[in-house]
Amino acid sequence: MSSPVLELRKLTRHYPTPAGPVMAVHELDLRVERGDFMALLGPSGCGKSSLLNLLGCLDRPSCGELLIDGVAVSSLDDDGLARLRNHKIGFVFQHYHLLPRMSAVRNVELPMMYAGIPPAERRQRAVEGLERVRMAHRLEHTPSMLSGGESQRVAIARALAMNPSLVLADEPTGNLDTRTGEEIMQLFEKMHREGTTLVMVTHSPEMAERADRILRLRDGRIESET
Amino acid sequence: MTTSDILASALDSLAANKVRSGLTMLGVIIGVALVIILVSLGESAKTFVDDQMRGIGFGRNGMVIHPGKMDPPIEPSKLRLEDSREISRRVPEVLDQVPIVVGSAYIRAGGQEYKTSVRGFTENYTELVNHRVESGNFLTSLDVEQHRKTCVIGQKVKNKLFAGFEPIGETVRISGRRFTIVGVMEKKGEMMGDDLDDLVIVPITTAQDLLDTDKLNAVLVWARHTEDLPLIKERIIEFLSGRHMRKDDFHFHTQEEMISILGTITGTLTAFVSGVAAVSLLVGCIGIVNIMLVSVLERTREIGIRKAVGARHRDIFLQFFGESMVLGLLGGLSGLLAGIGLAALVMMRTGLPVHISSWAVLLALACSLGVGLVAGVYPAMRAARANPIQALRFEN
Repeated sequence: MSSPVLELRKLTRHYPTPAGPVMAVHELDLRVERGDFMALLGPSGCGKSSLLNLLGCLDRPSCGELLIDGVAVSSLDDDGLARLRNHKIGFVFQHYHLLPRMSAVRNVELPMMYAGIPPAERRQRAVEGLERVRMAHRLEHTPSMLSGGESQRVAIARALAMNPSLVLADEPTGNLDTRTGEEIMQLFEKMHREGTTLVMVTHSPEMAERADRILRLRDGRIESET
Repeated sequence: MTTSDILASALDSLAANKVRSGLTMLGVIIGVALVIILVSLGESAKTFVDDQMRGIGFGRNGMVIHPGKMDPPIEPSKLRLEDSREISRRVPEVLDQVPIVVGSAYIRAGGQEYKTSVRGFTENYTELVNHRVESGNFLTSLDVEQHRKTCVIGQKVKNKLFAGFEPIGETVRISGRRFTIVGVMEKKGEMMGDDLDDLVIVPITTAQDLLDTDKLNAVLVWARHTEDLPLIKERIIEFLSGRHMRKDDFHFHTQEEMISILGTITGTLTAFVSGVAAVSLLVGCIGIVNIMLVSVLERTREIGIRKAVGARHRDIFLQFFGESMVLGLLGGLSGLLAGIGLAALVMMRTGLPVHISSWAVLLALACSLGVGLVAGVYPAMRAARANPIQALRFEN
């Protein structure tokens, strides 16, 4: 348990363009300890989405090293990355990204299905997860019948379904009105108190203030940390 | 991800686009239905012919000698009653033979008259052919020897001329001549287009007198052992051509030959419609590929989401592959039901025995599974290879 949840060593991601490579993430060094609540703050184009994709193992670095729970991501093949996403990472997206044809409870079951958890157990755990985000009354509703705040709660329950080491949130309140956004932020704070490690991308300094650590990014580099 | 997860996901997504799924399956449905109908009809027709042959007792050891050449048809040469008698005498492998004369005549009784088929046979006809007397007796050897004017009538003739009373011992006029009815044949129905109830059977000698001919229409020959048929054929050719006929003045039919002629006809038909079925299955296959590609594109974001929460390549592959297999299999099952229904309907309408070929059912199911399999691979591979970041950003 001594290794940090996240460890970045000169992590770099650049994209080839006709005008030469664009440095989206440039030689970042960073450690995120268990239980941290860190905000990534910066204007659009600062590389925070690229960084989040790297941290979420949806993308591979161009060079440098990324360790998640002490495991070097570069050593894993595609299936290994999928397994890592499944077991160690929970995503919360700005646009919720729930599967439209599935009920709330089946959306929460999804990561557990890919983990090979038997149907009865995953159903029970999904129901418990939805109770924890106060969505027990909406189990069989499909996303189209849910409000934005409700959808984001279901998405949070899905992110927590596999008890991940790390929850990555990409502008989780970006699509919500202030009051609902506030409710979601309170939910994040509660998760933080319960020991979940959180990394949240935002462009709003106000939201970033809620985190313990704020990392300001500019042009793929760390500008400052508070 | 368990098999039932894959199945549930496939059914969900197909149910979400019912009309589209149905139309996609149409090619497979038609192809599979055609396979079932064709193979079943072919087998049913073969059974029918077999039964018919057995029905009139023209068994596997039987053979027909027709005078004249079959192809091209030429003026039939004379095949006479003496020839048929000589066959029994000269060819020891022959069990027995029945000479046949066929013609038609007006038959009259009690002021009623109508045209029916006149058959001249020898007395051994009912012993060899599965066509029996219902009441009274069949013709005797004396009837044949002495050109007697006796007759046995079919059920239709009895019903037309003697409705309600026993005709045995009664007199009828055939082409104006007086005949005594000695028996009534059992009801037999139609055999290969020949109504065996609408006839009057008279001694072969009398029939020749009546029709004013010394020719025979055919001779039925039975072998003691079926395997002797080719030998018998050779001997008969030798003997007949020595007598008075040219070598190609007559031809032979065995039951096997008749079945094989029918087989050639149905074979050609089957080949043709198999082609149609194959094309239909191919089109069905392309249809499934097409719709699966559309489905993969439409659900790009879904693929991204599934990958983000931990789906591996093979999970995504199996999801879409399973969908294609279910499409193929559902199409196959629908085609199976449609094919069985239509085949049964056609058989009932045409009077063929209702028979669904079990190997056609297996073949059709294998075809539909094969279509689903072949059609699913490429779209499922595309889905599995999708880049999760681009997939998540994808806007429909």
